[in-house]
Amino acid sequence: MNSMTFERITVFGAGTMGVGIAQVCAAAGARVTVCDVSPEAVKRAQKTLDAEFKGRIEFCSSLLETAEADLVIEAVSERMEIKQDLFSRLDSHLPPTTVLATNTGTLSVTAIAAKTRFPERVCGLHFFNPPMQTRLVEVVKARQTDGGVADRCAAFVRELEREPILAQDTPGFVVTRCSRPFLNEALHCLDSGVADLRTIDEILRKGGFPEGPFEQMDRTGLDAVYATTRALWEGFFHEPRFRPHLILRKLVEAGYLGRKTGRGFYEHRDVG
Amino acid sequence: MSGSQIAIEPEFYPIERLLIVGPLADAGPLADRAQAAGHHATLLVPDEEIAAAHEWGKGHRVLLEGEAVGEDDFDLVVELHCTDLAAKAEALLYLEDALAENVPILTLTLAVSTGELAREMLIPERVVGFSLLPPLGDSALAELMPTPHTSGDAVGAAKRLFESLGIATAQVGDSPGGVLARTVCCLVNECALAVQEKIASAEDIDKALRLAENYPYGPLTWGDRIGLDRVLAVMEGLFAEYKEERYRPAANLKQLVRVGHSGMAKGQGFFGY
Repeated sequence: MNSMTFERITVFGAGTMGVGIAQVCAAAGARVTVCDVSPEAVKRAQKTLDAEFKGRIEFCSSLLETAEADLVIEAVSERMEIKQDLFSRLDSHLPPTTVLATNTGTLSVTAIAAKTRFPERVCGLHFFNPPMQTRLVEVVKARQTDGGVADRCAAFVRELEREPILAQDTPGFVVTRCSRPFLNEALHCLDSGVADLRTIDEILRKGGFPEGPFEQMDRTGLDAVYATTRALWEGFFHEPRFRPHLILRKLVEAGYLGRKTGRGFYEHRDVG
Repeated sequence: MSGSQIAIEPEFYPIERLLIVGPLADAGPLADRAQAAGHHATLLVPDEEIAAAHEWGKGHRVLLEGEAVGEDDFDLVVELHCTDLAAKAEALLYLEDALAENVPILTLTLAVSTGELAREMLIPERVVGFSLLPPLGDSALAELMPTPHTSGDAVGAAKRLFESLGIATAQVGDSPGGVLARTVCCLVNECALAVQEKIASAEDIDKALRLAENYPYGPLTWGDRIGLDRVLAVMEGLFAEYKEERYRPAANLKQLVRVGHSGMAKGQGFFGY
């Protein structure tokens, strides 16, 4: 194995995304440690990861054990104060040369970096769910990010056999923002009576999209779609084209969250 | 509204002799498909494109400058003006006057609703709007948009015509661009705004959406294929219809169209070809 841009990786946060990112890094030959403040979360992650990577991924539940990392990838829950607090503590524990990356999809990388003494080494590395199956990673440049740090992150993404794109730190970066009309216009077509949801899904599949927008929202989870759309809308100072649709909110309020609850836009009798 | 409830008698209305009206870039590929499917296609193109239409070379009959359309010469008309709504209105008025009153007129409603077009016509019963995403040589789906006045025969003839060309149909409510063109053009417009705001390069934006969302094309490439002048026309049609901020066309899209960089057919759009 040739040497990698970052040899020792600590993934902070042992949820679905953290575990997936650890798999991608370990599969490419990096030395990975998965860290989470919750020992139960660490135990669960270890159970999942040991099947394929036994002995090749280490686990810890203390921030102090991350001192050896060249790159820390944070994948804790999507809340600004939690991320800022973690980055501020990582910043004081780790040498200023360690690159600190956040996997946020909707929060400001700039605001996270601002809580550190060396914000130029903070960068966004946005992996998509599921990380093992998605080839794209958004490398997000905050206002403070050093150009060399972003370039090294992009090189590292290539070493993971993923495709990097470079995005400026703005709400939703590229994918979340630019794909929004696919979902929003479907809701507007529905409420203005252009077509019913089955017809809309069918038309867009025949038009070349891999799945219809209502099928996609049911698969992703309506609560997640609603939260993301709302974050985007708020991030752009209530720009009307990102405004979440009332239909979506009502379904979320009703607990019709998609496949996972057996009902969303469609009824899913096979699950839930 | 559902796509599958159009009752048609199989051979009720002949659809063999087609008059295809509009700019050659759209009329030519559709005439080729019609010819391949066994129809007789005649082209009526703008005067300055008549020579090029003869060159198109698949043996289509091309109406000469000033040559009149006979009232019983055609079974069906497909009118394809998209970006130039004045030319569209003029063509429709001419066709209505020239053709026998039972000849259905199918008109491309990418940038305007059927109702808006039919309002000016004496026999709105024969007008069927349809949305077909360019390039028309590749389109696999036509969305039919009848108005409450449109006759069942006219809708049936439209449905049979498209299906004979291997183009699936769905019936949707009358709106500029239907579902597919509206969705794709809004994606192109959002990506154009992201380019304008320098969020990422055009190449990276397209790559991101292909890899993360599995779209068949990156939206900017897709816009270049469709023609940015048509994308702009769809956005302007949506903006005129709904007066919603979300349909405001991106300034860089307008600028590209204005300087003639309207996509693949012109050799330059968001990307060079």
